[in-house]
Amino acid sequence: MKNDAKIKFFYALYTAIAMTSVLSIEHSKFVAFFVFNFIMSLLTTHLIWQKSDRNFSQIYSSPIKYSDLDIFNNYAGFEIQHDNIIQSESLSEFEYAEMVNNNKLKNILIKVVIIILYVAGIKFLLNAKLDILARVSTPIAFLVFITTYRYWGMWILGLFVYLISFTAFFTVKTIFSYVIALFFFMLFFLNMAFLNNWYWKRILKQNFKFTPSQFKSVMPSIIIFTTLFCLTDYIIEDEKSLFSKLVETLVKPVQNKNHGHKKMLEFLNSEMDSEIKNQLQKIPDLKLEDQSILDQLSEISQKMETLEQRDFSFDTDKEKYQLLLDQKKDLFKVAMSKHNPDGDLKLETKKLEDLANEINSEVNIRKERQKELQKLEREQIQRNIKLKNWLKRMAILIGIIIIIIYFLNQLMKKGKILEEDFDLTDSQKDELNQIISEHEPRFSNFSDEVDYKYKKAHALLKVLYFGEHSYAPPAMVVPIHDNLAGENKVRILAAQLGVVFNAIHFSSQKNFKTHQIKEFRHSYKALISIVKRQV
Amino acid sequence: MKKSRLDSWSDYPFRLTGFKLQYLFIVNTKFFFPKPIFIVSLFLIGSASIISLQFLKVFIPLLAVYWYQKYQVQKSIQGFKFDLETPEKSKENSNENISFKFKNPSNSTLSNFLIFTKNETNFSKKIITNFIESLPPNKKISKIVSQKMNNGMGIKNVGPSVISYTDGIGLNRVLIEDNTAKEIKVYPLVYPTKKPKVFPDLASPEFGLFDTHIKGNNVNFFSTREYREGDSLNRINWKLSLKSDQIIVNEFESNINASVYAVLLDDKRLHYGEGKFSSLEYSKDAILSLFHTLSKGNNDIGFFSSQKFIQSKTGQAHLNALELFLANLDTNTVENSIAYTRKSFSSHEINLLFKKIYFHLPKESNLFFFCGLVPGGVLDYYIKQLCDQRRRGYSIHLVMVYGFKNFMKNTSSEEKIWLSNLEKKLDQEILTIKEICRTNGIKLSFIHMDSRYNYDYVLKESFQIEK
Repeated sequence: MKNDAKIKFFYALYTAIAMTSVLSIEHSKFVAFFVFNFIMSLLTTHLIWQKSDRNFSQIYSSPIKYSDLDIFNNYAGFEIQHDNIIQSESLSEFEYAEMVNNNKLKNILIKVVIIILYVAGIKFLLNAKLDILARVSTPIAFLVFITTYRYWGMWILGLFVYLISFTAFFTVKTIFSYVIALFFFMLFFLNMAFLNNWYWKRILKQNFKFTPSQFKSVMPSIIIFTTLFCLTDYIIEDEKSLFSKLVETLVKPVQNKNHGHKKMLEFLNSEMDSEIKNQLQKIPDLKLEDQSILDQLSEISQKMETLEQRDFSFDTDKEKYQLLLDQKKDLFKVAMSKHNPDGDLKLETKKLEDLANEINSEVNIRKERQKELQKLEREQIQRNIKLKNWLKRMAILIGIIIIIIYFLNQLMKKGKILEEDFDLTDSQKDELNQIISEHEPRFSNFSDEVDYKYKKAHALLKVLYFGEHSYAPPAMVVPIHDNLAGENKVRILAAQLGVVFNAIHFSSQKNFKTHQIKEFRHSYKALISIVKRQV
Repeated sequence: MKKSRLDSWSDYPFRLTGFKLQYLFIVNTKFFFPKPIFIVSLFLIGSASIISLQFLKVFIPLLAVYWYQKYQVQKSIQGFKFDLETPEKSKENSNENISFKFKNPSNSTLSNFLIFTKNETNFSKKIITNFIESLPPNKKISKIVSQKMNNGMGIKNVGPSVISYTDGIGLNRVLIEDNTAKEIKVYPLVYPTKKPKVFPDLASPEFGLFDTHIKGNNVNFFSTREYREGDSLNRINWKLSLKSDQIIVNEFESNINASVYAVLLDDKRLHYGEGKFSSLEYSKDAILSLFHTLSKGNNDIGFFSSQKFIQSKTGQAHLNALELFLANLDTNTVENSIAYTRKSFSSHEINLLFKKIYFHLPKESNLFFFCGLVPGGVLDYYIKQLCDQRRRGYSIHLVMVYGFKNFMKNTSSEEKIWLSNLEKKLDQEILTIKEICRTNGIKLSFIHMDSRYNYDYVLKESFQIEK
């Protein structure tokens, strides 16, 4: 029972993701909601698990049912006709009334408490708004659904209910959501395997244990699912797919390498700011009218700051920044012109104008440079697009290659195994060696050759499949013999040899076509080579 | 013969008749049916993809996984190998090792192997259950199951067996029925006994209390008599037979000390207990040890029961044949109902048995009757018949086996109540039997099976005559 905690954990994790997917909230809140849902589902699964486990053991606790042939003839839903024994009643005919929980009030109370706990938790712990509270009804329904699990099969049914709800509600947009979706489906397969294993073990009253072989057995289905999921995703949504998003994130740092233009703009801004500060310090009294201009200036500088913080991630950011810079300059000019009538400041204004001109000329020069830079940038963007496409193709190719290699590997294995079929003892190996090393005589005609080779093959087969004292059937019979059922290269080759032998001795065929003779010799050679490898 | 198949829709109990919500096959799953639910959900997601293409992202991979698993499992059915290996055992062994051998020819791991195998050597656990976590691809696995053996001597079968396994995620199940059964030969164990007193054969020229050393058929003519069933055709006196209407046989002098017949009353109503710990098994042991001790002294030994009659002969080969037959002997069910459920019984079968004994067994032979001590009307009737047989001139020795506490080990609760009721009547029954035997001149001995006594000692003293 202690080991069941791990199954509960995985099941709760799975349900929690399904529940949060229904809420479909932003990423920042997803984690918080997920944690809360996980705790709630873990609590309920822990509560209900014991009850369903007790019911399960009740079904299989009856000693008569277990020791008698009933379970042998008819267990776990399978109906077996064995030696024409008439079957007893199906196990599923167990009285339903026995299993019904008498304490209805307790059941209702559990449900109510869970609902209250959930709503209160969402309201006070997570400070959710009312629109989320309205959406909360579906996760609550899931939790209540868990509380109705009375039989073992319900846990499996739950798996599929959550699967369907997840696919219906969850929208994949960002990489984060893709990761969650893939994780969810991985959990689905894992849960399937674990629950299955638990069931078969509990039938024999053994306890569940985690072993690496369980993970291994699930791995192929997970690999197939993820690769096909990504491929179909790419086919359906070309530019919004996971591939293109991954490629974008990979390409981004290359795009941001060109910092020259951005740095220049920032330098201009800082220079202007320092100049404005200097000039403003020289002005003795600022009037109230100027205050509005100052406010505007501060606003503009704030906007520029946000743009700087964003690292000019969008293409339009640079243009906006330049516009803001121009606006700042104009505002400054207006502010200075208001103070122009005062003669004392004339000299300073002149200086300022000179400075502004200088800046303007500098800006013009830089604008020209900027145009050149933009050209370069465009070229680079085009190159990036090419790179993106190339990367996508590579990713798809790799995906397909992985699948092909996987399946090919499976197919290649087969040939190997069928040859490595035997566990030979030392005495058997010696016998085989003796038979193989026998000197081959010269054959006067084909039928002599067939006789010799067939007898040799037959002797080999006898050593391979039958002991010293048992009788070996003729090679023709080998492939259909009961002891040797199944596919094997040796058996197929033996059958081919046997066909020719029979044709000579029973249907008295004398003339063979060249391809028939070639085939016979080839199959004999192949058989000998297989046996040699064994020795 | 092996039958193997993949699960299909017909294997799942659909409960749509008499509609109740809990009777829906999905909701009413006390058992584990992931496959139909998987297919239903696949169908739902697939049909939803008509509305939006987003569902295809899940539908296509799920479908592929389903096909992949089904393909692998179907492949595995073709070359899957299962084999049983059983040992040959002596009765004194308490455990047997049965090895299960599996071979997985497919390229994927098969998991959740559940094996049910019928086992005759154990009464309390008739089915060996076995679980193997997973069978890796392209590998052989052998698993040895040690099983407690509490059944008696004889040839016992292990099998048929049923195997089921699933794919990696448990979607598809495969069921394999293997009808073949392997034999376990459980050899009897013979304990020595003290030699009981037997009456010598009057037809023998050199009879006496001491053993004769001459073996083989005698040449001396003794007499002629009418042909009886089982007589050799070589001994027919054709001349005499042609003169008279009957077939007449020559009889020669015999070289034996005494002819002894062990008569096992194999009526099911006279026996109780199961397997090793049953009155039948103990009386078989007693018969075997009797045979072994008497055959050394050149005595004719034969066997008689309602199922089989073996004529008395000497020699090791005859003894071996007797052993073989005895080992596989089981009780004969005269009536379907067991003794404790019936108050009256039909005496016809019993009368027939004693008529046969009178017809087949020669009067000068010693008869050893063996049965369990079951107080009741049936036993009383048998003893009445024995008394009649005694009056016909046989020398009779009755051996009765009892020991309720020892036999109660493996019996069902229903039988335990019956046995405890019988135990109360036991003392009185023993007294009455003793009295009857004394008055009629029947030798009587009891074999009391008790865990306090050593089994060797009990069998050694088993033919001691009660006074």
